[in-house]
Amino acid sequence: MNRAFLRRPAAVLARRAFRGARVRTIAFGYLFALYAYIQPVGYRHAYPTFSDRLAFARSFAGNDALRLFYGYPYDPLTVSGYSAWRVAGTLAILAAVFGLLAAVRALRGEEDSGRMELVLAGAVGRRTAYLSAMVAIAPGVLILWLAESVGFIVGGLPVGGSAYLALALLFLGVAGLAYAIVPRTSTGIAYGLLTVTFLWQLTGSLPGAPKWLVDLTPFAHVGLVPAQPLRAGAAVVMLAAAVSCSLAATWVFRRRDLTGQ
Amino acid sequence: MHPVIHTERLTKRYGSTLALEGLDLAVGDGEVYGYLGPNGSGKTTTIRLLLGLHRPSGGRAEVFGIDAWGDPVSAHRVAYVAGEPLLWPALTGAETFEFLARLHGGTDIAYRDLLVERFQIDTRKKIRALSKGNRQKVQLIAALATRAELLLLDEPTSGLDPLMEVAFRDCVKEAKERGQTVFLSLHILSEVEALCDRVGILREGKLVDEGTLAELRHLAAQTVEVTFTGRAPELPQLSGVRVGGAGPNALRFEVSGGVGPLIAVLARAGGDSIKTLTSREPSLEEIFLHHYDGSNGSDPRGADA
Repeated sequence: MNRAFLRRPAAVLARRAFRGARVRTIAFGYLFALYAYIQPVGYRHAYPTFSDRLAFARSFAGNDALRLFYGYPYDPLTVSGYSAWRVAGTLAILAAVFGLLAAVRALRGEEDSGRMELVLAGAVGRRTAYLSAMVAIAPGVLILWLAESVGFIVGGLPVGGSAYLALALLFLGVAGLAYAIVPRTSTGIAYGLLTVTFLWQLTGSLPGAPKWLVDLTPFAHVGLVPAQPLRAGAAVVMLAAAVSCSLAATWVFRRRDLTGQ
Repeated sequence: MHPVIHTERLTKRYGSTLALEGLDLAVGDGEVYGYLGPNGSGKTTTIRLLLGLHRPSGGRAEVFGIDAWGDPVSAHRVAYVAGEPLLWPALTGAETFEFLARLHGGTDIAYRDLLVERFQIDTRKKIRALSKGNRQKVQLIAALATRAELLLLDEPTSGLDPLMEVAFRDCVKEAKERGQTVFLSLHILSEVEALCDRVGILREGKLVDEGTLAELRHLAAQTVEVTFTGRAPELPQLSGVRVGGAGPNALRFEVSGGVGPLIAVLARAGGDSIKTLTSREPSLEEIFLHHYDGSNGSDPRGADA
């Protein structure tokens, strides 16, 4: 990357947004690493024998409330199955929250504070300002994946890919679009959507819920790391949706008054 | 040739509130234009429309002949100081300068260093540790150092102490000498008087008066104060003359047009008892207050005694 590129307003803005998000990114990365590490280690410690693990699996078999809360267990008899089930569910929602928070802070926070006005009064168009913020958040998602991988490796499991990082980008795009349309209520809308889609997936864990209904929520497609391979198709669809949301958002953002101070 | 700023029937409505109504404005190259009005009169709205931050509800705004809403990036020839110095709290002053300079491009670093010295600011401190006045200095220095062709300054001296206001005046004068155009939204009238070539007065979203200070003074009422050796005499009503009491032995008149008829009436009514008679042109403050005197918004120049 040459110096001229790094000096372009878009690159300058993206670097500022990335730096502004570093504390949050580090905190989430720490959480991802710790959670990915604790699950396999804790499982081995709590259920050292096969009979212990069988008893644990049976406790889930007849308990709808537990399944509703934790989701449908994938393979509670193995370390990787248990870890995948626990890690994927929790980190999926954390990843989505990360995407939401990142978008809210980088876009709405700047506009509410009045700083966006100063940026847009310089040689920067709205599309550049918007996309720079989005681009700045993407490396944060990569950092989360790396942190999670480190946690698994140290916990004695293989590294896996997961579509839930694409989920983070999806919610980043959704929150960004909500911001572009209705800045003042965008946070509520995005969190509402997150809650509904997550609860939807949990409800789908109950016996008798039709599969097509569950498939409507992106949480159903994140895959179980490291027990299952990456669901590349789902990841691509989520990424495409994220990109579409971002493109639509730049179009809408260009056509409304700036709010804030 | 296009003026630097040109608006035509520019209107902005926020829901049911009419913030700006039919503004026709033209600011020429190298001009320092003072834009006056109290809070809520539409000054900031005008600037946001000129920057393409808000979409006009009607009419159009052009900057350098380019539609401000259609192509706001043309504003790279513009530097802007917001009314509130809202900067990045985690950055130091120096980092803020660097960030804004990279964002805007074309910053004159040597001039920026000179301004830092002139405004006496410690650039090592984080923005969050600075007072409002010092944050305003950071914003001002960053904008002035761009040497942009057009400076849009919205209440740029808010929070500055009197010494720094003098430094600011020097900067605006330098900008004018360099041929930069300055659009200055202010409500400190002494600064407008000291700096501006032309003044526009805004009231409730409408431009109610505009011109050079000389033009505004010529059209506005001048003040005549008369003191008497005894009690002030009763005077007949005169067209274009408004009488105000200034004490038992004194009268103050605000005269639109010539003072001859007033002098003649005074001579007839009590010429021998006149002790002193002074006449002065109205200050900008008086011109400005005329437009806000009373609630009906009528033209004060037509006021009768």
